[in-house]
Amino acid sequence: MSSETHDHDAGRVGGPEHDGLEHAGHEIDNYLSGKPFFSRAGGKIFIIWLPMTAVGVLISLFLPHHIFPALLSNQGTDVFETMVFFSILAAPVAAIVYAVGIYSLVAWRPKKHNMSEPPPDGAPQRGDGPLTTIWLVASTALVLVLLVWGITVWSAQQVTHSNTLVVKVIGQQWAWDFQYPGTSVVSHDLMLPVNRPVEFQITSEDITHGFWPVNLGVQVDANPNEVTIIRATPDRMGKFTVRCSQLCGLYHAFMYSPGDVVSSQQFANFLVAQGAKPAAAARLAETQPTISGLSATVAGS
Amino acid sequence: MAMTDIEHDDHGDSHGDDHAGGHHETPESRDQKERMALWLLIAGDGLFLVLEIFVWFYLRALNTNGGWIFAKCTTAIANAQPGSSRNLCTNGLANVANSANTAITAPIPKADPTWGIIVAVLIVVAALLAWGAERASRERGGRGAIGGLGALFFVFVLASIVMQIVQFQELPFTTVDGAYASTYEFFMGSTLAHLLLVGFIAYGLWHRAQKNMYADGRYYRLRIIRIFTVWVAVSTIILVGVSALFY
Amino acid sequence: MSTATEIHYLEDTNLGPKAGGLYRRQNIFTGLAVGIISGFIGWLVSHALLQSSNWGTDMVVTVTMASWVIGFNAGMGTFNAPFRWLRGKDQTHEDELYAAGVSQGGWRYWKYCTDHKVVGTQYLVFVMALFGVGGALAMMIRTQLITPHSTFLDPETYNAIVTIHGMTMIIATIIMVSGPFANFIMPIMIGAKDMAFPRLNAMSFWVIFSAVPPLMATFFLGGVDAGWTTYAPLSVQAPAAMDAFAICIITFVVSVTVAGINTVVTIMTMRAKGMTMGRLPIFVWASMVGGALGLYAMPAFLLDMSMMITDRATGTSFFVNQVGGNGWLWENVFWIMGHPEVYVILIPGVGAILEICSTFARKPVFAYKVAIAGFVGIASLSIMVWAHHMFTTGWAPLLAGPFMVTTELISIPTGIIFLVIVGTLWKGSIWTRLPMYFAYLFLWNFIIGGVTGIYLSDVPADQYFHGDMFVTAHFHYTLLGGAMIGATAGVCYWFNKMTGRMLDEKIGKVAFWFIAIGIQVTYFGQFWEGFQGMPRRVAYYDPIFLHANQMSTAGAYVLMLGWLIFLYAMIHSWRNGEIAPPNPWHARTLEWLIPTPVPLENFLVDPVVTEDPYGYGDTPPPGQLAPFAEPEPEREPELVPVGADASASDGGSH
Repeated sequence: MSSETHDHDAGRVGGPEHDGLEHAGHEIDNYLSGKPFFSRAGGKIFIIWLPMTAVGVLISLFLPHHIFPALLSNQGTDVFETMVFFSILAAPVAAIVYAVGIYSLVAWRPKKHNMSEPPPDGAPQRGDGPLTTIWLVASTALVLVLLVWGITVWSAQQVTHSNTLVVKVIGQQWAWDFQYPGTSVVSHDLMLPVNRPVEFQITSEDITHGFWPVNLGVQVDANPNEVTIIRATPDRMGKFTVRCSQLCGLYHAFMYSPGDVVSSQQFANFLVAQGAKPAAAARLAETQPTISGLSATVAGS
Repeated sequence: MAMTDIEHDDHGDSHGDDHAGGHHETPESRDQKERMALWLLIAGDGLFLVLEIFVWFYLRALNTNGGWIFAKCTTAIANAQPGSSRNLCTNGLANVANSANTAITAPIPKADPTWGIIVAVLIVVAALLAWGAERASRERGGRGAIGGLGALFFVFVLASIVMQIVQFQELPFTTVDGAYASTYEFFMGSTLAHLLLVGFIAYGLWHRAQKNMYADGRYYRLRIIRIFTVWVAVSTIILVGVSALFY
Repeated sequence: MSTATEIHYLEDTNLGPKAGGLYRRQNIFTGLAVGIISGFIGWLVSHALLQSSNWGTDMVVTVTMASWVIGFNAGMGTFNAPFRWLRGKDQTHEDELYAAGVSQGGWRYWKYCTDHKVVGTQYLVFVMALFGVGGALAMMIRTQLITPHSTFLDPETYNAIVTIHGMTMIIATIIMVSGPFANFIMPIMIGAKDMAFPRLNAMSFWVIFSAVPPLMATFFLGGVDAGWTTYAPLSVQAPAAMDAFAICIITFVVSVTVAGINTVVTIMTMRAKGMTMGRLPIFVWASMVGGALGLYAMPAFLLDMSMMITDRATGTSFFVNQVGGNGWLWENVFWIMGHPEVYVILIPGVGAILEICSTFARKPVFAYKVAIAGFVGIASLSIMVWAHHMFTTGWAPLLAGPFMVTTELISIPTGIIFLVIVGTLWKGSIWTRLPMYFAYLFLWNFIIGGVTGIYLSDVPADQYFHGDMFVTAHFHYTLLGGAMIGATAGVCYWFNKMTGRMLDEKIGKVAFWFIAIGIQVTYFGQFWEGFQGMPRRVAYYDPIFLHANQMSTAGAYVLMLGWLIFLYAMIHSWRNGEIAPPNPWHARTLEWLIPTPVPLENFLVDPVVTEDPYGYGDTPPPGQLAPFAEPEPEREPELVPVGADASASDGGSH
């Protein structure tokens, strides 16, 4: 039997036939007559989209200055620039989704509509090949831009410098120790000379900790019986905090150490005060390091 | 969604034992579902197997602190990374939380692969017997043939379980003897768990064959059992092979 | 042509006095009793035999918890059918009918009931209870963090709460859509009478039910202080609570595996005539992809937790670096499970949202096939991205690049989701009922969750944000703001079908605004904390994070209030809500074309499908399937040949 096909209107409950049809009806007519489906609303949505994007870009440009702590290294600058750049890229994408969402609520919600009944059907739009293609191409292109940016920045960070200061970091429940090879210094404070590339060699005495000198913009886990390495080049003087970023038991919250990026002279003084031989301290704090690779200009400035 | 036709449901038909939840199903659809479910289960179990092998090779490659096999201690000391403050060869296992405080200085011997091979051979024979039972059911449908093969199947699975337990007794090391020993025993444990499941099924097969429950074209249920047993045999061979070949 | 004489309600079948066998005597109380006794025996035996060994406490806790799980399920009836199979005494048709809940009334909700609708309802209540527990724990965390050095909780308790909040929510969110809706609604959507394996379906619920007491028991066993990710070696050293935690996860894995297999097989084999794969409602596709992905993720979880138990209770060295294991092994296997698992949570929720967008925009799902490709794309990429959780662990610096590539590629199929939602809304006629409110909230939140995920996928930026509150805020935006809001929209949408009563929209909308604003305030506060550099999972913090934390806590209270109001709306409506018509949304998927409440076995006549359910604006709406009149308890159901008088029934429902 095939009596399941109903009369459209008979099956529908509701008011007069044209109630609320001004929108939907027109759109369906446009659609069926082959007029461009996206033409009419597009301009208005653009008007919503443009200021939203502008606001998004402005927020991306100015907000990070206010909410990041002072970032003291090249790597910190990378983080900052990545945030700004990615936010600027994301703003128009988010804005288009929000703009359509807002517009749909404002313009495509039938007025004077009895909420207990469904409004008339929208257009039987089952897809739009070109739009889908554009969306896919655009999102792929955006992803490629992100990837190129990310890989460029990441590989620049991997460059090793010839005159690197090595600092050994040992984590344990719940404190950090910093050793300066070449001296006998073991410190609970992390002192670093400015404009000198640093290589942290990190290990742990007991369990996994997360070595995170916050304002240097780098972190890596401290694992027992493994040495992990992270590099940074402090390029501004200032105080910062070394935190633990992996839950490490009872007093995880108290596992932090003060850090300070200081001038070479202050750094040498610090080492001597901690018991290093002046000659060794001077060698470690050597100014004007010879640096190979991409950040030579930064370090030399 | 428009419905243009209505079909009768055949409630009130005579009911065989091929049904679920209360409604009648044909053996074919039951078979299709169960086989698909079985293959999905085997896919998941296969992933488990792949990850087990990953564990083996990852720990072997890392050889953290020279702890894969203590026999390689000398190499580990030579390659010890800077900052590695502890080394098993020098410090033993002392002060390591949650483990026995027994310092191990002698290298542990390699496990004898013979036992594993025996287990694998037994389960392979069992799988062949399950296959035979399925053929017997498909071709002859005879109670005797299936029952006999089922009994043999059960006996061989039981033997493989016993051998697997014997292997635990015969190991030259215990769980605390480093990563090699741990992973080796974990492989054995995972094999044992699978064998116990097959043992449960094999007993049921035998028992049900005695009651003539695999007659009249019900061989598809034996096929389910056979597929799973073959899979267990294959995974046992792989685990025994990996643990025997990659010391 | 069907006639009245050939149709009867299965509920009215008279069963013999022995139908069901052992099931007759089994219910939640026998389950609890046998479980507790079994656990106690397990404790006695293991205490006598194993306590003196090196790892005595761990062995005892493991054995006790495992005994509880096995005992509970034995008492519930999980093992009845396998052992009847073993004895060659298969269940009869009457037994099956009994197990499906025939002539047991409301009591069947407390039993091992194989009816998928009962299982779905059980899941719904259970998920709400889990969210209650997880939410209460979350509020304790946020309360602790009002001030930098609060004395509300001590750090030990705090760490335990952080862990159990995480794992309770992970369990709850994994089952929040695939439990209630993929069980109750999905089989009806495809025109099936039940799931493919009804007994396994009941098993999946009662097994996960038995997994939760061990999780809660961790509080009394010293607490797990390692976070829900329970990174080794810290978790290997944790108190005996960790053993109970591992048993909980292993039990949970069994449930999710069984449910995943059941879902996939149901969709592949149980579709009604004419319900081709291309006509499946999008939610069914989402359920299938989610179920299959769960099947991929769970073995890794099982392996990880099994090795954890052997490490703790037999002294193996998988995860302790000092004895030859490696914490990176735990992290790898964990995230091989962990990243697919977040999409197990997300994808079914997105499916519900797409279904709702289509119904309330009165438009077909935009680019249906592209949406499916998006789901499949997300699922297949998600198994290759796990190491982005490990960018900063130092395990393999060279792999950071490749994993950054796969991670960022996943934003392409995720972008498709937005395209589909936006395309579905485009020039629809938006019917702003309560489910649609939550659909818009999903759109808003998920954009924020998605964009912040892009920062984290970038290795240099992740080196700053990893392990800090930014990550917490990000995944709460995706899992709470995205997936859980999707599930909430699903509750608003399907509540009337599941309970027979309309959800009170006035109270629901009040709850909506609290929830919507609460989420933004709470998690923007946490983004702020993250930018400033506050690590996750800290019980105390530097006063420089004070304002951000206070903002987050204030938002959390608003959010809690919202959920409580929503809970009130649900309970109130469930008890005294307006009786629901069969199809209040005038939607076209099959579940709306059968009566409410849904009779046992759903379709008294097998439906035949001739087109997909998204013919809005294109084809006339379908009528109700026979018997379309709402069955009333006192009255014999009115049986009218299908299609003869559909408009009357449609009108009559108002």
